[in-house]
Amino acid sequence: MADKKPMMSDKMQDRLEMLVAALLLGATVTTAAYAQQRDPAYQAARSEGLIGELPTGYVGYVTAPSAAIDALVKDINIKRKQVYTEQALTNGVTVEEFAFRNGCRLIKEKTVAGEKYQAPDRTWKTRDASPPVVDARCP
Amino acid sequence: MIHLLNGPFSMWTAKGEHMRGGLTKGRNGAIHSIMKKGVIFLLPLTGLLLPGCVQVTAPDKPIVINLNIAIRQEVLLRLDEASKKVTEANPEIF
Repeated sequence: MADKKPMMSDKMQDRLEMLVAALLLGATVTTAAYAQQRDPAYQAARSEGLIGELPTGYVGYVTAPSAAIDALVKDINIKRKQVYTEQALTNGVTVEEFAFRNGCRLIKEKTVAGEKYQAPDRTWKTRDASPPVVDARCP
Repeated sequence: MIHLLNGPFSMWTAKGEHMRGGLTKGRNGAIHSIMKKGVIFLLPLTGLLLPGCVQVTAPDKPIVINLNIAIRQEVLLRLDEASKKVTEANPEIF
């Protein structure tokens, strides 16, 4: 019996690995959960009507933006465009088409009362209980 | 006889003279001779092409971004599911 004594049994090692895996999984889920909400500044700008949804699928300025709002909107729109580009490629459509389709959804389903959206005639409207005015091409 | 053949359209027919100098040998080589004639032929052509240049001037009116993007109506219907999924998956930006 010249075998070296192992530092820990196989069973112990299995348990340790499972613990590490569980911790890693937990961390991932926490990060995902953290990303599940809008940035409070973005939410506030929407609620205050400083920014609104455009028919093109992007965020637009209702009033001349401050530097902070400008940066925030650009960041959101870059991220949106990234998602739209990926989806356009997957679905074999143009980025504009996917963005437009999503814009219809965002105005209809994601704006709440008090938030702004742009009608097809390019005027800004405030969402209320009535259905929003969207492009005739929206499904 | 060879010199008579060396009219403006005879560059390919006056073989005798080209052969004497060999294909590439010195200034009398066949390739040199053909190229020289080629340049003379092409000069009037470049003259003809010059007036074809496109003049681009900046518009005096401000540029308006057109929102009338090309949308194919039939694709919008089949994007419904993908759009729904992506909106739900990225609530922080929508």
